[in-house]
Amino acid sequence: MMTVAMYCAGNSKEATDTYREPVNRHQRYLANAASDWAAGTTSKDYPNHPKMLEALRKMDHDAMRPLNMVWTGSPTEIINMITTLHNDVGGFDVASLMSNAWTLPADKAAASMRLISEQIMPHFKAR
Amino acid sequence: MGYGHIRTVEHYYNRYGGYSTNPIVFLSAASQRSARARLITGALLPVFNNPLKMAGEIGMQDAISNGRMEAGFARAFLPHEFRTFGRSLDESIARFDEGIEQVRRLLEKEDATLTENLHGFENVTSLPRPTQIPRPSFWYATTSSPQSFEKVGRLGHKIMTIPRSKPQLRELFGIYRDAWRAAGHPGQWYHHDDGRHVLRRQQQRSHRHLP
Repeated sequence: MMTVAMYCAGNSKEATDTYREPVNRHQRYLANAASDWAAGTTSKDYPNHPKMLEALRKMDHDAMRPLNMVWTGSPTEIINMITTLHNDVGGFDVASLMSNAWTLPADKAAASMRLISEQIMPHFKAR
Repeated sequence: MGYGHIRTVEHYYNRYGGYSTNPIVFLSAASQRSARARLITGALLPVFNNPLKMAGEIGMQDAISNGRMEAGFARAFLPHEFRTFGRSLDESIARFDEGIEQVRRLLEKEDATLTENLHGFENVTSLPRPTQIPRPSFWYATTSSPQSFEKVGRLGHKIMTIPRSKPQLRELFGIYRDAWRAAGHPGQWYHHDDGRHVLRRQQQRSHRHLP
């Protein structure tokens, strides 16, 4: 299962303009929640976490999108993002839509879910 | 709308996920507003939970959802949660591994006796017995550790991860698939449950516990 923040709108600009700040706010909340790692916490059971969380903390929506770490865009763009990641990593079974960018207005979240359902999911079901 | 699953987290005491302290409570409610979607904990945190309690609650959610429950587990990663619960970060792997193994045995076996380090018990039959036989599917949340990907593949469970650098993720998935095959698990490197089949079997089984 690949869990990814996804937001779909009619075109690329509308999608990124709407989703940029909710994702960035999510990243700020994550950085705040995980701030102990940046403050020097270490553990033998988490040898990579200080470095990993520091790298994540620096990522915002516009840095994550080209790396396929958020799927924001038109239906065609998101189909291409999913296909690219699927091919790059050798396949995955389930894409799980993360909607934890909770400052996204509910009507926009619902519209995005409908677009994904109607225009993206059928593409992969047909394969 | 055709979505295949509903999933939520377990976090505490922070706006980052802290409003979802028990995914099973949320997913049980979601089960009453959905018909076919799988209900996946994303994820339960064994380090903060007693395995006896988790097994019982998984059995309840599986029953309430008519066999649509899937159990995802994670090690937790936020130091403030460990501090508040009085757990050491250095106990994380031990509590995770032992917790999942105990939940697995409690779900799969009746009269389970377990004598591990952290939680031991004798002749316990967790109720309600799972609706899906032998138990709901297990997912492991993991991000970057090759050892974790290898372990999950060897144990025959499913991977729950996030996108990272593509060469690294391709290598990690390769480790997982190789371990899955080497352990002799059937089918592909992932599999889907036959919900109707497991439900029919469990209805016969669960009746044994009715008065």
